[in-house]
Amino acid sequence: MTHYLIRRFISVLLTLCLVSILVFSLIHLIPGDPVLVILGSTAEREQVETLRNKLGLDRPLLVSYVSWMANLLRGDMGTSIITGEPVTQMIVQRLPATMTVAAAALLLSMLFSVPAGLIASLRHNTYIDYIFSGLVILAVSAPSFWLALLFMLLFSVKLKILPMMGYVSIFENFWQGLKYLILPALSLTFMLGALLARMTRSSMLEVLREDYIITALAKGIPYWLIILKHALKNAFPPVLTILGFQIGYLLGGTVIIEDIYSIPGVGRLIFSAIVSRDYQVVQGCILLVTVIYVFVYTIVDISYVYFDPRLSYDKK
Amino acid sequence: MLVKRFIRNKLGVLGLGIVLFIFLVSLMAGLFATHDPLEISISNRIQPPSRIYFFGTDQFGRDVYTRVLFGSRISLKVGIFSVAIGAVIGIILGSISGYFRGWIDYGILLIMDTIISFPSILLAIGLMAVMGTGMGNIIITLALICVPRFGRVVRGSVLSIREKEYVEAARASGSGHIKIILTHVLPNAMAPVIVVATIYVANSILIEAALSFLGLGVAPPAPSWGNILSDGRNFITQAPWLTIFPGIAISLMVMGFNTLGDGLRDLLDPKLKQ
Repeated sequence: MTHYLIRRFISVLLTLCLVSILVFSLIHLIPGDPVLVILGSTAEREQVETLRNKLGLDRPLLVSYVSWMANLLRGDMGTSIITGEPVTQMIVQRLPATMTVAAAALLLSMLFSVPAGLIASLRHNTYIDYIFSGLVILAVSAPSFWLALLFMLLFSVKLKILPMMGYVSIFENFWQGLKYLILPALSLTFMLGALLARMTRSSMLEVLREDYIITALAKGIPYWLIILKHALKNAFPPVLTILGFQIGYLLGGTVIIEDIYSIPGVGRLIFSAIVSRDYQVVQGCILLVTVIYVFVYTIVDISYVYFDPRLSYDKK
Repeated sequence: MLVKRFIRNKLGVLGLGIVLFIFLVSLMAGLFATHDPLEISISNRIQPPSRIYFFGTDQFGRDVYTRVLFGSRISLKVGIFSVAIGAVIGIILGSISGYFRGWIDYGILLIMDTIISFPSILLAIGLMAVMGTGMGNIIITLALICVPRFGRVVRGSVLSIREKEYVEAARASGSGHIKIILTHVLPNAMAPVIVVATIYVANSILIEAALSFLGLGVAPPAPSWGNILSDGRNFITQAPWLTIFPGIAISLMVMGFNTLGDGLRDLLDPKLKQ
C-alpha cells in the first residue's frame, strides 16, 4: 500500500510539473509579440518594456519558467495587468462559487442517477429499463450550455419561478442561494447523472450475477438488504471511476455555465480575463482548476480499496 | 456476418441512420436551403418560425433554418478533421509506446497523461484564447485533446499484440520494427480505434459548439451551431427559436455519433464495453 502510494505520488508530481510547463508556455503560443498583443500597437516603449519584464519575456525561457514556478510554489501567480490585484487572491475569492455549483451538480446527479440505475438493473430488459436507456442517450447528447438556455427559457422567461441569472451564496442566505443554484446545477446534472446512472446499471447487473448474491439469497437474507448491502457496495467502484473522470467535465462545464448564469466564479474570471487579454489570470485559473481535478481524481482512484477490499494495491 | 450482427443492434443502426442523414443534409445543404445563410435582411429581423422562415430569423434577419443546415458542414468538418489528425498522431505515439516500452513508453505516457489531466474544455478555452479564433486553430486544439485518447487505446492493444507468436515469427524472420508495427501490430489494433474515433467525433463537435458559443470558436458570421446559440442567448426573451433549433441539431448529431460508436463497440470490441 505505501509503495503504491509513493509511486502514485511521484507520478502525480511529474504530471503536475508537465501541466505547469504547458500552462506556462500558453503565453508563448500567442502569435506575434505577446506584449504588443496585450497592450496594442500604440503602447509606449516604456510600458512595453515594463510588461515584458513582468511577464518574464526578457529572460531566457528556462530562467523565466524557474522563477515563475518558484513564485507559484509560494502561492504567487503574479498580478493582474488590468486591476493590479494578485492573481491568487482573485481566484481564491471566486473559487467558493465555482465549487458550490460543481458540488450541487454532483449531489443532484448522484441523487437521481444511483436510484435510477439501480431500478433499471433490477428491472433488466423490461420497459422501465428501455425507457431508462433512452433517457440516458438523450441526456448524454444534449450540451449542458444548451440545456442551461432551455431552462432559462422555461423556468425564468415562461414560468417565472426561478431567477434568470445572478448568484447569492448559500452560506449567506441559504434559501435565496438555493434558488439561484437550481438551474446551473440542473444544467450540469443531465450528462453527469446519465453517465453515472448507466454505470450503476451495468455494474449492478454484473454484481447481481455473482455467487455471493445467490449465497446471500439462499441464507434467507431479505432481498432489499442484499441489494443495498451486498450488491450496491460492490457495484460502486466502477461508478466511482466514472465519477473521478467526470469531475473534469464537471469543472469545465461549470466554467461555461457560470458565464451563462452570471455566477461570479472562476469561469467568469477566465472569460473576462480573456476579453481583456489578462493572460496571467487565464493561466492561473486553468492551472488551479486542473490541479484540483488531478487531486480529486487521484483521491477517488485511491479510495477504491474502501469499497472493494478484494483489490490490493501492491499486487501487480 | 459482421453486417448482419450490426443490423441486429437497433441503437447502432439508429446511430448510423442519423449520421448518414446528417452527412446527406450537409452535402446537399444548398439544395434544401431556402435562403442564403449569410444574407442580411433587416426588415425581417427576429421573425418567429413561419412558412417562409421554417426556424424563424435572427437579429440580422438571416434565415435560421438555412444557417442550421449549413452549420452541419462546420460541425462535421471540425469533428472529422480533428479526430483524423488526432488519431494519426495518437496511433503513431501509442504504437511506439507499446511496442518499444521502457523509457520511451514512460515518456510518451507522461505527456499523454498531462493532456488528459486538463478538463478538456478548459484546455480548449486556454489554447483558443491565446491562438485566436478560427477553424484551423479549433481543429489543432481538438486534435491535441484526442491524441492521448487514441494513444492510450492503441498502446494497450499493442502491448498485448507484441507478445503474440506471429509477431515473434516476423521478428525471427528478420523484419524491421517499422514493418512489424505496420503490417502485423497495427491492423490488429484498429477495432478499438474505430470505436474511439466515432465517439470522439461527437466529443469534438460538442466542444466546437461550446467554443463558438463562448466566442472562442469559428468567427461569426459563419453559421456554426455554437454561433447561432450565442445569438440565441442574447435574444433569449425575444427569439427562443434561435436557441431551440441549433441545440436540437447539435444533440441529434452527438446522439448519432455516440450511438453509432456504442453499436460499433458492441460489434468490434465487446471488451471495451463499460
